[in-house]
Amino acid sequence: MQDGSLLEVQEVSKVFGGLVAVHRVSFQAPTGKIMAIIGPNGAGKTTLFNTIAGLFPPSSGQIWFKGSKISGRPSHHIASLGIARTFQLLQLFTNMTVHENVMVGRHPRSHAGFLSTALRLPGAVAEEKRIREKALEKLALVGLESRANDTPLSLPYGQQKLLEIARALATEPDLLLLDEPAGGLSTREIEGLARQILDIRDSGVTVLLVEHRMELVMGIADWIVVLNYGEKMAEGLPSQIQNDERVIAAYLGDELD
Amino acid sequence: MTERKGIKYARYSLIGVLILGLAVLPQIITNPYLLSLFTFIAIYAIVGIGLSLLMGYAGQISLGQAAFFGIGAYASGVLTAKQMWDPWIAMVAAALLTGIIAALTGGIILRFQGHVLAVATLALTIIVYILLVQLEPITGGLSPGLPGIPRLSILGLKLNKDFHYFYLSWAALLVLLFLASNIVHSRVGRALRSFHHFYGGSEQAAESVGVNPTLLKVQVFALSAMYASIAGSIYAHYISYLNPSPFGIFMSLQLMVMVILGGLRSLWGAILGAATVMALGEALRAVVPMLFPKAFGEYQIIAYGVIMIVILLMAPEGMVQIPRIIWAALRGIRSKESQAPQLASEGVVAQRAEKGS
Amino acid sequence: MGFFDQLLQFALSGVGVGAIYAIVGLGFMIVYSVTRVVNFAQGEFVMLGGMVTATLYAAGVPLALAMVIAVIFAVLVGALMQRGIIHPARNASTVTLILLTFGVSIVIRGIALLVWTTDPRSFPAFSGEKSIAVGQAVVSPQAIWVVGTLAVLAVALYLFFGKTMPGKALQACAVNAPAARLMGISVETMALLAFALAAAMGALAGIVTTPLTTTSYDIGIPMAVKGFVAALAGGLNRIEGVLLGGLVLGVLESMAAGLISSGFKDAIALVILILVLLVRPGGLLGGAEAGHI
Repeated sequence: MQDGSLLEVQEVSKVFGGLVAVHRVSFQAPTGKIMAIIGPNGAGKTTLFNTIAGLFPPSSGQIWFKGSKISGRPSHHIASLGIARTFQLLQLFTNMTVHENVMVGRHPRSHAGFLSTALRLPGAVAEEKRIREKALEKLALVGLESRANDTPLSLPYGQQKLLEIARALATEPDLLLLDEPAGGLSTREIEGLARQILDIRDSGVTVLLVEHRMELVMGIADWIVVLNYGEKMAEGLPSQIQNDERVIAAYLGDELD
Repeated sequence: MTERKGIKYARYSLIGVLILGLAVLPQIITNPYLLSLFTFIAIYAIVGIGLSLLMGYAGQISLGQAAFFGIGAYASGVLTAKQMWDPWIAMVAAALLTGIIAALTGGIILRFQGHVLAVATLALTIIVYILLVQLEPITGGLSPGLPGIPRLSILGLKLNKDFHYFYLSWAALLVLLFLASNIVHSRVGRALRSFHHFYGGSEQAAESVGVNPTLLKVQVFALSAMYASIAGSIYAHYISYLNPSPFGIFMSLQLMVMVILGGLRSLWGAILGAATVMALGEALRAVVPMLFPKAFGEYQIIAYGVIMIVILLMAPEGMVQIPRIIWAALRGIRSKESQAPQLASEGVVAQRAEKGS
Repeated sequence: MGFFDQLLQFALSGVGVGAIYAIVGLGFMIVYSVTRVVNFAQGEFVMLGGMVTATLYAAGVPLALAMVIAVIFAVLVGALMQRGIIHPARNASTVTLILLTFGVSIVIRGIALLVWTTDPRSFPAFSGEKSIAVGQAVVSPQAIWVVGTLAVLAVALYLFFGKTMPGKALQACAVNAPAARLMGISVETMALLAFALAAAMGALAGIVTTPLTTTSYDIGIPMAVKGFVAALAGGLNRIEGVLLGGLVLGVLESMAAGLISSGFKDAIALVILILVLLVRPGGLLGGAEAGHI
């Protein structure tokens, strides 16, 4: 594994029944940078993304994170190693307040178990206080601290997406996986999102995003991987990708901003 | 914010009234049958709280609580009556034993959901019942059963009066309720609420923040089993004699009904549900012979079933919601607490419509 | 009797018993695949089939007619249950549905206790009592009726689902209810049909086994449990799996009763249940596609 890359994907393939969704894709996500995976519809971006996130294991190949192999590990384990993610189709905890949603995000960084919480041991009580505070901090980062006691479904869609990001950030990840974060957002909201993601990168978190909306990708990505028909077609700086003929050809029929 | 404080004050004053009422109850109620009824309410409510944690928070169904109740009762009974253990140590040992059994079986069956899980837990109840009946050398079987279980004593004071057990079981109930409530309002409680789909959680999202649903399910299952075991131990020392008959399907069913009637989203619901079901049983026992003087148990069974059906059809959220609804109606606004479950259930109806069930 | 002859005897009686479990299991399967509800009252249809037939026969009604009336009665009860209780509660939580079906079984059992008390009932075997010898073992002719009934039912179901319109409509609902609705199939009617079918099958099972085992007001519960185990062994959606599960259960139970003790025989069903869940949750024959019969 090369130095300087937090995440390494080696020859990963994923096959569903007879369908080859991802075929022998390899790349490294440079530490502390924003990397984007793009490609036309059906290129296998989401499948690759979900394989990295641990939703299912790769059919072949390996995925390395901070020097350990994470491919095939359950997703809650991967989360505790320092990878957080958001979901294309929002998965908020609708039975809790906005604040509580983010507090759940502190789970991998806290320890209190059944016994210490049942008995209200001082360690658990102090930890709970810290959880509340940290969660509120993350809410403030995305500008939602005033909505802390509301229910998630009472937030407008754009803010719900921010809530998911706040929850993911609460885990204090080394790597943040964003699944189509710009989906359903207006151009104005995308600008805000872009600033948000840049702030996240500048705070030391490596970001990997799968995205369709080119305004976002070209605006913030430090490095881009292009998938087509499940294979890696191109890789490089945004300026290189934008002028790559094969990429442009692949997107004919899809929109390329 | 004032609304929340209002609810808090109401809650605390209600608890105060309750404790006061409990303290003086044995002075007011001299009828020993009624007193024992209240004692049983507390004992069953203990099981109910454990079940409420399992069903209402972790979202798992269990028709197996009678099994754990029975294991706790018999473990205490056998260890104290036959092996002469100290009853309190036996109670702890019984709870640990039950917890381990639950963890092991839970590891196998908790991967299932819904109806299949219900049947698997039902199987537990039946298996334990059969074992209790068949392992006569240990348990005494159906006859002669297990007599001579010693009474408990605290710091030298022997608990041999009925009202001792009234205080003991209600004290135990309140302590265990407190512990359960602490768990619910903590990191663990949030983790429990985070993964069950039907109640507005998301298993994928929970896992994405490091929550391990499989482990949590087993842990809560074991905890609920331990609650049932403690209740069973108190039961054994209270009536001093054990027989397998009560620890069967009907008890598991009744326990579930208690929790459902009381309302799944609230631990207090377990107490309310236990009281209601017991009161219902007594009411039937009193009323039915007046209407149908010739019949014995049959009409009560039928009436019980009918009432169960009617209540389930009419009040699926349980009776604990009633004070909330009244409070909100008085205030004229919807409380935030009653909004969340409604949104969750709307989402559920939409999802069920999608699944086409 | 030599040991292997004993085994043969157990196996043969086990097949007779297992066939009943398979029929009950098929009833579970039909209801579950269409409505996603495990009907815990399924065992009560078995009880009703035998009890009603026995009562009518004792009152002088010819046996064949008594059986027909009993089946119709069970179907009516099943339909009433579906319309009156299951349908209104269709959006309720799983727990509520489970408790509701239990509640129904309690009511039916309570009424049965009231009407018939605890006395067991029976009626004569269809073709006499003379045992038929199979090697050193004996088989009651009624047991052959049981297995025969199962065979006929299984084939009939197979044809029904595969060849007839209502059958295919039922299957469509099992696979994808919203799509079925869009195709003009009334899912509500199909649910009603499923319950009616399951009730009929339960009643038939009860009728055909009563001459062998007698019947009483409380056989519903053990029947339900064991029938469910058979259904689960079939992955809740494959006829062959249910047949296999029921027969295996019956034989193992019979052997356990004979070789170990009859007290533990009821536990066999449950142990098998746990094992199936553990090892082959998709059913003994595996590879069950969701909802496809």
